[in-house]
Order: sequence, then C-alpha cells, then structure tokens
Amino acid sequence: MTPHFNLLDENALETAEKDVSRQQKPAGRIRTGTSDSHTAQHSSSGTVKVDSPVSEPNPGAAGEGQSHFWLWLLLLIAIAAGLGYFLYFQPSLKVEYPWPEFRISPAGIEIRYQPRGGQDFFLRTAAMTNRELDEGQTDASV
Amino acid sequence: MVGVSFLGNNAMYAQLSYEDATPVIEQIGHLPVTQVPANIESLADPELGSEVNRVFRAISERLSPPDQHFRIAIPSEWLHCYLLTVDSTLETAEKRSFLDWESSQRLGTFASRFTARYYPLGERDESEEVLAILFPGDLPEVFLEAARSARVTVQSLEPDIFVSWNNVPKSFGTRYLIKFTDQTISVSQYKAQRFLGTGLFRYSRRKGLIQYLRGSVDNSRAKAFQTTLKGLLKGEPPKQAPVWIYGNPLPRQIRMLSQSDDHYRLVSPISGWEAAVRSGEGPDRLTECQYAEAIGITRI
Repeated sequence: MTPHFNLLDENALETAEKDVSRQQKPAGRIRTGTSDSHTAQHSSSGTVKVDSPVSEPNPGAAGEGQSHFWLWLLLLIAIAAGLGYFLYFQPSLKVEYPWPEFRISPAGIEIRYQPRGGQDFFLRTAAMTNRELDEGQTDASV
Repeated sequence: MVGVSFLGNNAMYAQLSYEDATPVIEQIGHLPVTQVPANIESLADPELGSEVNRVFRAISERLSPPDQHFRIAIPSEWLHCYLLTVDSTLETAEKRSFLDWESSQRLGTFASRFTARYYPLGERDESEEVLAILFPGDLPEVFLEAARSARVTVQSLEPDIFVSWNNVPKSFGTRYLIKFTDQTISVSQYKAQRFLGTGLFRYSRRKGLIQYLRGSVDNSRAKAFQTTLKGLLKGEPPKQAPVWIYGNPLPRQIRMLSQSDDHYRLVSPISGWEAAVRSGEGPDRLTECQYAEAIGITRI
C-alpha cells in the first residue's frame, strides 16, 4: 500500500497515536520536557501561532539530555585516559623542572623558581628586601 | 476516481476505475490554466478559488462515465516540507506542541500565516520521525469550496512529490526523484522506500542557474542535490543511480539522456500497470511522465 499524506486529514498525528500498538509505554517513564516551556501554541485548526520566536533549547527534543550526558562522559574518560598514559608510560615527557618555592611571612611573599639550566626567577613583594631574603630573615620584627 | 495535478500552465487529470482490483485508466487529459500561482508567495491571490472551480467543472464535463470523486496533487512550490524528530514518549498534545515549535522556528516571522499537518513516519530508539507539511492560510478550504461549487468531492490533497513517487518501482537502494517545471526543480531522495528529504530549486534555463529555495534538508545535503542537478544537466552519470525524472517541460538534454542512458529513467505511470487507456491514443513516454502525479494520487 502506498503512503498518502492527505492535507485534509487534520489529525494524522492523533490518528497514529490512537493505534494501540503505538500507544504502549513503559510504566513510570519520566518524560523529557513540558509543553508550556516555549512560546508556540496550537489552535484547533492546526495553525502554527507564534507569540515571539525565540531560540531557547527545545524541551521535547528526542533523547537530548541523555545523549549529551554520554557524550560528555566519554569525553572525560578519553581525556583522563590520555593524561594517565602520558604521565605513567611516557617518562620522557614528565615534567622534570622543580616546583616553585614559596616563602610567606608577615613581611611579604616570595616566589622563587629555579629551572635546571635556566635563569632563576624571583618574584617578591616590596616589603621584603634582598638582605632579608639572603639572611633568611623573614620575621617582620627584624 | 479522478486524479488532478497542476503542472506549470496545465491541469493534468486521469480518470481511473477498478475492475476486479485491476486498475483501468478511462481517460487522461489536460487543461490550460492561467490563474494558478507559480509560487507560495502568490497563493493569497483570490482568483485561485475561481480558477480551481473552473478546472473542476471543465474536467467534470469531460468525464465518461461521470465521476465526482477527485484527488488533488498540490505543487511543492506551494508547500514547506520538513522532517522532524520528536521524543516518542511524549503525550500527543506535547508532541504536537513541540512540532509546532520546531515548525515555527523554521518559518520565522511568517509562522502565523501557515497551517501545519504532521504525519508520523516511524519510531526508532524512543524517537519518532515526523513529516511536517506546512501551507499558507487555509489552502484545503480553497479547494473544498471550489469543489462544492462544481458539485464534486475532494477526497484528498497531497504533495506532488509523494504521489509521483507511487509510480516508481519499489527498491532497497537510494533513488532520486526529480521534477522539472519551467521555473523550478524539486529533488526528493529515498532509500529503501524511506523518504530522506526534499529540496526545491529555482531554475533558470536561459542562464543555466540553479538556486536552492527551501526544503527539508540541511545545507550540505542541499549542496549535494545541487551538484547532482548540475551534473545531470551536463549529462554526467549520477553517483547513486538511477535518477527518476518527470515534469513539463523537460530540458532538452534530459529528454535526450532519458532515451540513451539507463541511469536516467522517466517516471512511467502507465507502463508498470496492467492498465489500458480506454479512450484516445496511449501517450508516448515523454507525455506519459507528465501524468505521474495525476495517476500516482489514485494509487491505493
């Protein structure tokens, strides 16, 4: 039998829904989206009336939230696996430089970074003098 | 049963009857029309109703035996067709509301002028594919009113691309169905009898330009349709053969290809039937394809 799409049939969607085989739904299913969360309204004659077309997310999109969840989960697993691989199985790629040193006192904060083979890098607040740092005197009372 | 289609400047009609489930074409013919709009923007023309009424009356007078049951193929130039996907677990009211929202997004500020019909195509993985057909104003009422005045009954109004597809032999492969008029080309794609999408193009024969107007496909698919059309007009074999063609007038190169290349096939609404045209001479193949819609809509 050839399919027919008769424009005189105003309730093609409802007619299809009345088919018992199509109406069986698992008990307790949580529906996605509600009908009142967007601005389109439908009149009895089937005319599409739009108050103000907006581009908000469509609440009824098929499996929208679920598919995004799995996509993000897969992406996170892939990133974690890639990071783990490089950290544990590729020693040559490990970071060999030391962490910066932090010295914090009431007189100020000093950040000292000494990369191997590179130039030392210091960042210190104005309250700390070179002398204090050289002597290791970081007490504010000195 | 009488099938009627509007093809360019002609109203094509075919009268069929069934004898022991065997279809018999009582007669086919065409009438010139003048006030039938060529595009969706001109549908508001108040003359459309009187022109349709005149066509119905003229066809009724020619029918033998008399027949009042008409089926009408609507040109895709008057419609918007979209394929939408909706969560099948929604209630019908919510589903319809969602489909209205999707349709309104596609039509933009013109949405309030359109009427929508939705046809479920099938379900898969809790999602349902729905064919949305949108037309301006109350187009069916124009035809129903014209039919009442002409004392005939309109049983159905259907988009042309779907009724002409009824004439194409069933297949599991990919198929293109292409309709030519003097100003437009419509391309529809099917795979294993499943409708994949359609696109309407403006066509300038003199300049050789093909411009995408609208359709149910995304830009990449529209581009692929356009490439197929350009190749077809250059005589290149299609990548996914065969291509089924009909319309009036057919471009000269298409007429030549359809006679020499097996990749291009004219839609043949009569040849595949155990049917006979009772009155008048049977049409040749080039003429026969012009009746693809008028005969296709009468298929049960």
